[in-house]
Amino acid sequence: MTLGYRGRLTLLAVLAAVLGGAFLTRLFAMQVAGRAAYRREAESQVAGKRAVHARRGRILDREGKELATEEAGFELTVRAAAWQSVMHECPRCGLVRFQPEKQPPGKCIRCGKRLVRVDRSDPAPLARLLGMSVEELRDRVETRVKEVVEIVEERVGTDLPPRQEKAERARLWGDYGWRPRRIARDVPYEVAREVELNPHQYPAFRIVSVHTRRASGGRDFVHILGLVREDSRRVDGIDVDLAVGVSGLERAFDAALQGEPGMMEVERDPRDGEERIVARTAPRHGEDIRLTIAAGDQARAVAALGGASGAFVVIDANDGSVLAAASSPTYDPDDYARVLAEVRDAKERLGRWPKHHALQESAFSGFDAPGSIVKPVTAVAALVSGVATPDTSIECDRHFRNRRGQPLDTLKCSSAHGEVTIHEALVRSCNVYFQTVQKEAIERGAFDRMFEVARRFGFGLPTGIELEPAPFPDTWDPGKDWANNVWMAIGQGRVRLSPAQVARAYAAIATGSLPRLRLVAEVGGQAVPPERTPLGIDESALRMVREALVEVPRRGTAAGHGLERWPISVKTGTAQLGGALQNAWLAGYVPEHRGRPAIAFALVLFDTELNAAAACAPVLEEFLRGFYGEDRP
Amino acid sequence: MRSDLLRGLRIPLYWPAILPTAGLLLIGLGVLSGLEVRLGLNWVDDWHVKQMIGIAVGLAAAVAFVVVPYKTIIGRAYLLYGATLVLLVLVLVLGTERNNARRWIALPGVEFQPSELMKLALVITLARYIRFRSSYKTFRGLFTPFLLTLLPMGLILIQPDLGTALLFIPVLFTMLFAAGARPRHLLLVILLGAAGILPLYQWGLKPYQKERIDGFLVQLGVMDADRGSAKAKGDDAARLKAEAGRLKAMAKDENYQLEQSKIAVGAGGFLGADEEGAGGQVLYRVPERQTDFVFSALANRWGFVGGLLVVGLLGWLLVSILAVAARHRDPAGRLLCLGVFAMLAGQAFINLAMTVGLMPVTGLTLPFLSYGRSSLVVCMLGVALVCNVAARPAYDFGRGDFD
Repeated sequence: MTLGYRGRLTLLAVLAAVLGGAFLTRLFAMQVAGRAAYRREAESQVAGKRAVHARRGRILDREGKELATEEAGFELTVRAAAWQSVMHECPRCGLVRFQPEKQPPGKCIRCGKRLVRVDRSDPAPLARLLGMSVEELRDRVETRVKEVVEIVEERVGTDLPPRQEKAERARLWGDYGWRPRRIARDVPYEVAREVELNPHQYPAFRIVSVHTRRASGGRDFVHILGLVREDSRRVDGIDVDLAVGVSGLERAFDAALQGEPGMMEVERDPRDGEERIVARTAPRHGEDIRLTIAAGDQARAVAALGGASGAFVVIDANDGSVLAAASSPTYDPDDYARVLAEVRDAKERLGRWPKHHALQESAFSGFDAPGSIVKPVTAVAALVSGVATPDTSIECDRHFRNRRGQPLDTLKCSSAHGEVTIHEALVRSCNVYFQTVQKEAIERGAFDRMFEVARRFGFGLPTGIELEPAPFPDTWDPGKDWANNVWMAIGQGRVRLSPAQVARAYAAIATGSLPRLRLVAEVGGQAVPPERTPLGIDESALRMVREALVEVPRRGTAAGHGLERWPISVKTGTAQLGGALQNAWLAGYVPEHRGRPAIAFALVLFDTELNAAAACAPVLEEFLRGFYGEDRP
Repeated sequence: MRSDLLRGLRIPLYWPAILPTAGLLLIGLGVLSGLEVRLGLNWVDDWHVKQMIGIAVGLAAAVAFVVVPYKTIIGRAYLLYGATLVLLVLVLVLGTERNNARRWIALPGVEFQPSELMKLALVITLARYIRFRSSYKTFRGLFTPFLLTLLPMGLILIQPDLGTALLFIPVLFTMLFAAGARPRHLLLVILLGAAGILPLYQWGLKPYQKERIDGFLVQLGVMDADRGSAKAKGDDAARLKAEAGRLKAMAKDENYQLEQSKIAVGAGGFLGADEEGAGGQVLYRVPERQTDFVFSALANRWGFVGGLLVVGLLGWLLVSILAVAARHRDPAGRLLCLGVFAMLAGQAFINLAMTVGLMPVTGLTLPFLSYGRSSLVVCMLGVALVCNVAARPAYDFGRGDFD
């Protein structure tokens, strides 16, 4: 059949109508049926998220002096993908696009002009700005690029078929390759400004503003404040760089200090690359933390220790506020890497971690044999449990006698004290008296009662300080051994106490209540209220112990070291370590004096050859002079 | 159909063709001015201002083209064809290079594309050649019309301007088919042409042209992979999904223009996208949004309703042209109308199909809407030619002309 002219025209019209219909169908499918998918695609192209930095909270001393703050600075970074790409620029509008070497230049997405290749790969201008050689800059960049390549290769793995492997490699490179990698820290403002304002001159490099934790508290506070490290966390679908506390209060109060980063939803205008903020969630800045410690008191405590290995805790005897907490030796937080290397070297040499080292915090988490420091608590326990009365006297010929009546040569007294009461036993620190009382308690079934009284003084219990280890180790546990149960009375054997526990127990002796220790007075302006628990112990027993302790610096084991001029009550303690070395303890309390509150303290010096009073009294004396203002003209 | 506008000068106006043309021109100006406001260019550089100048020039040329009887124009067909061929050769030597193509001849104050002029010259020349002959009804007789077409096509491909060159084929086939060429002969030519596609792709195309076609084919592959993964289960589904993802990524890389255009069109929705929102902002990623991809801009701003309006106006224009061709008795007049019909319909369909991913990106403007004065003037001259034919009904031929 042949079509006539009109038929052919009709056929042409039908053909045009079919093509038009096909187009309209497609248009309908895209704009009406598939609109949501294209809208999502459009949003994914122009929208992005940016984290809004949340300032990490400050840590202040009791008087508001800054101990840890955040400082802003600049880092120079390189983007590996840009470094390894060829840069193309639009000759009309200056838009820049990075492409692999082999890919032909496309058109400008802004104005449609074909892009032209430009060579800005010479690092010499940037090296001059940074004051380093071209080789050094190139080395740093190549090292970073190599790291990125290694990350990508590691993630690609070897399990994928070749085609998928290639696609996966390209995908990962498109991600990791564009992440800025640091090549220089603390970049001066002028350099940062030059690079930031002329991105086309330094196409592979970007300036990143960073926030550095500055620990102005220095070596005096390093064990208390702890350290932070840079970390990256996934927040709301994007990686956010954060400073995260890894030790000390920085870790214990990390959530409060860190705050919550804000989020900006931005749209990049494809015409000029400018970003427009379409939604913004304000960051919740970290909360400031105010300590109970005054920087001056802490510095005095650290200085008093004079670098000797030891720890010194001073607390407000009434409300448990920590007034000073020094661990020695200490270090400058800026020297952390070097100190860590030294400690590791020492470990290599010794085959074990050194017993006391600069990185160790000892005031709250250093548990050691307390020695005679515990005798006042043993005395109270003996009086309360009825094992001894103020008039109970025991003959001391230096040697404690075991269950079979045989005199023992270990843990004997330094001299024969003769007939001693509990008062005299405390003043002269008679080992025989307290071991005998303890033996009596065991034989009369009163040991558990004495143990329970010691618990009331916080022995073996957390003090409330956030720096203590978790889970908390119960080191006031003699076990089932008879000898250890006896030695417990004089702080020997298996029992261990921290200086903070000892200071708290002495505060309880002084006040009749056991305070919960607190290092932080305020978090975000909210006061941390003090807590104290009455001992529930007969006041006469406590008074008897206090009467003894006040005589210790005057005519007892601490006499002759200059402490008697202070309104002070103390107890000495020497924990035998075997050989000539011992841990020297001095604990006590001072009532309100010269406008200062009543304090309790515990001081320990590790591995000393001197007896407790000789080793510790000068340290305490130096601290008290400063604390009460006697070293000021 | 005919009105006297100026005393002493009879300008024939064929309103069924003029009204949709005017509508399309106004829509084009509206879209262009909408794009420029956001760009903040100096107004004298604004696309819509330049386009208005083009419309004014086009109107002047169209008046001249309408006033002179079409038979007089057809009488000068070979002269026009020869002169335009010379210009096509000259443009290869003296032409202004832009975007790696040498398509423009610069004269003081004006630039124009000879290839655009050749579209109309070819229509007129073919009408002149075919009108009283019947040799094209034999296979051998097709040689001359094809030679007349392939000669300028070759020159235009050298520039290179694949889109314009490809447009000559529907013009030739439409005119031959309407004039009564044997369909089997035309089919045979199509088969021979199809056999030549592979060598043409391999050696005849520039890398960026190949890139566009690759991107288009990859895009088709994506559709297949997606459909397969939807039906498949287990490992097959995962494999097909991975393959679809890979192909999508490849399509994005290799066919950036097309992908951005599709997103801009799709994001337009039913009534258009908010200019400040993500859906509206994406338009600024579409390259050549004022010229080849002006429909993407329109569909983005005015949505499906805008697209329907444009297609409706184009349909109205084409039907009115076909109506003139149907009732006109002079073979030359019929062929001129059909040539213009094929030129506008082909150009419009290729452009529209390209913006929504139904055809590869070829670089053709959308008649009356795209910014580009050479194309605009030639399209207006095409409509003027139709008005010319419509205003001059020929004496009756006997039945059998083209039958």
